[in-house]
Amino acid sequence: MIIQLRVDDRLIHGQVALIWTKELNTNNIVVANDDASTNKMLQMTLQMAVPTGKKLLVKNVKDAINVFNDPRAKAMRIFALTNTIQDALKIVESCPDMESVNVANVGRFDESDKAEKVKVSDWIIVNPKELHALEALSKKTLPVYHQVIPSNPKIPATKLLNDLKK
Amino acid sequence: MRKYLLASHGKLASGAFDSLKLFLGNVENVDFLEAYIDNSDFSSKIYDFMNTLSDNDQGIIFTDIYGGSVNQKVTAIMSEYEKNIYIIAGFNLPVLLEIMTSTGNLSQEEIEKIAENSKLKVINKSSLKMMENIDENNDFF
Repeated sequence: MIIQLRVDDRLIHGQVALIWTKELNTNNIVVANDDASTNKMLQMTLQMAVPTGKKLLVKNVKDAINVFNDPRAKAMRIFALTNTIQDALKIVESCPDMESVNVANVGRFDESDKAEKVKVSDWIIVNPKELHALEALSKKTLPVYHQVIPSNPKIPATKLLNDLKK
Repeated sequence: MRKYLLASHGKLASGAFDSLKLFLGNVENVDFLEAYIDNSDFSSKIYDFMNTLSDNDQGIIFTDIYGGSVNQKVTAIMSEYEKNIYIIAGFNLPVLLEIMTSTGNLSQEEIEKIAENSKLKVINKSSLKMMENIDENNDFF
């Protein structure tokens, strides 16, 4: 099952590879990303970030959903990554076997219009489509929270969105 | 409890300490030693560290250069004590993170394995080509 689905615009990087894989006690990392599934260079740099002994699968979002729903995935502790909230929402809506969603780092470096972006936290600065997806995600029954590194508290997405309205 | 000392020529140790905070948030039980930034004798800092170690503690000292003068001094002082202490020479950020996120008393074997896994890697275009082939074989983990 998916132990954690993390939204991170850098996908796998130092914090994710070294700190989170240990925290989550996972050997199986799945990057669900349409660009990465066809971009060899990106695949190789992702592969480099994977620590010794951990395994990586890079799939487009649709194929990743098939992997998550495969009976063989049930016994695994899978750490899944997307780089947008919209992709995370698609996966949540198609994969019932999931423990939690961590919206960690997103939107700061994407190329959407800065004037339209909303700052949800220091690490979540998103365009209207992403914000809409975050709202939809926060209404799901599974825990959806924001936690950049394990020593940070888990802040529920609903709290972040409520604070935004204040 | 495990306690750490980062020791370097100049500010590498305090720089590494600063980088660790990005990954770990609050970094506890870590002290650092910057040798030769002034004329003071840095031995006292090493003795201070040794004296904070109780019988149940494990001390790990990271030094920047195996055989360097900082490493020599640390090694000499360590040998005066009968304590659970390891020196890891030639530290980098991966080895710091691996050690600091491991729990419990680490055995010599475990520490050596972490050091091995954290070794330097060289990348050029032909090594990238080899990685391309590895990924092809990975169907479902």
